[in-house]
Amino acid sequence: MKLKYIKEIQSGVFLKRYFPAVLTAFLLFAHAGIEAATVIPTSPIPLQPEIIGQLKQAQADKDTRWQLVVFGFTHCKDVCPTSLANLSMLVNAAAAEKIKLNGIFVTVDPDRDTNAILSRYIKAFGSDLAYLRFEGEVLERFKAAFSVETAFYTKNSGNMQNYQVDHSTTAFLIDTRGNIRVIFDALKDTAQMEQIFRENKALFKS
Amino acid sequence: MIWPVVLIPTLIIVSLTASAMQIDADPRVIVSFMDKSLSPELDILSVATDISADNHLVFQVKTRGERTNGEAGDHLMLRILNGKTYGFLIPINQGDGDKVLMYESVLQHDSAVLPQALGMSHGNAVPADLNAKRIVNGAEFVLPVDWVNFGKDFGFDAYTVKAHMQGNIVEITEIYDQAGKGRDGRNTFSAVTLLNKLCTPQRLRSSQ
Repeated sequence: MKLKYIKEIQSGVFLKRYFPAVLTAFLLFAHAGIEAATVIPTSPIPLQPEIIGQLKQAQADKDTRWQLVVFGFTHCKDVCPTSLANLSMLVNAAAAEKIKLNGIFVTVDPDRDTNAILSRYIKAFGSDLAYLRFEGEVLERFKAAFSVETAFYTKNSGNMQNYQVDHSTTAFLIDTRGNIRVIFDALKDTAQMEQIFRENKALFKS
Repeated sequence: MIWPVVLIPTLIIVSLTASAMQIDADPRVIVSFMDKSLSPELDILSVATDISADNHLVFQVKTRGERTNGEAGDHLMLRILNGKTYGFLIPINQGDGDKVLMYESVLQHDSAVLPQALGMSHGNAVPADLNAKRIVNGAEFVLPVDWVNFGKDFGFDAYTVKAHMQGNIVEITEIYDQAGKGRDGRNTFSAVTLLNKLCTPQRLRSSQ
């Protein structure tokens, strides 16, 4: 068995065969190495009325639910699906603790993410999720309210389909009055958020 | 074997392009111009922020060099705008220890300008786990994330200064170097940005 691997390494077949796996592992490590922090601000951070109104567009029973907001785009291959899966899991975890919570996915890439695409995309992660799609200045103001950062690579007039978007993975728990109550990382902090749902009931009564 | 040959240079090019873009755009980092007229230990090269695994905000200040002994009044100073203007000082001389002193502005003033005098912070105003540690050619200032007011704008800069401490007041008698020189000290941004992590492999460097 060892001999087989040595021969493969010597012939270059090993690199050819396993390079994708090694590269994938490297990229995953790149994400895994980033530290994250779950923060409960000492004072709730109020959102502007315009933003509160826009968030309410995404929920049916407008005044009784807390909201978990994450940002991303549907062409994202690895990070956003994980964020959405975590969002769905957290909505279920909150429901188990009798906390009324909506999960909202906000696209940072409205040029490719049409309403039809977004609708299909979020349904793949759970029926309790909603999405928001804004364009132009409205999107920029919405992103600024949450300090969302984005960087578009190779997007230009000749290439409006095959480009990459880097974006911040910070997510937000918002109370029924439109105040940010917890800031966390959508990829790494789900365990802490579940713990908050279980153990910090006072937060949801304040 | 063809596609590793194609992919590796592509990744390198993308990585360099992205890094270059982030140096200009990243509010969490100040890249400072080298000034060879200054002694290496007084010449600030960069300031970078990061969040540690135990939920602390780390400001890493790098200088071109370091020294063990010298003028006792010389300090490395981190200025933070977080509601008030705060100043965190440690001695440039490694032989003088790494105790960090925390001061705050005593008077209303333009928050973009380093106050000439600051009053020592007392009691609850001083975070219990405020800390500083020496690194090669520089220092790290460590503050608890909870200390930050995330509802307000945030700003930071670093200086090498000559400081004169008298009682509870520190007087800045000379500024040798300022990391954000030329930025006018006005690089404020939403404090939430400090927590942002970009979903890109380029951020690997921030974890190293």
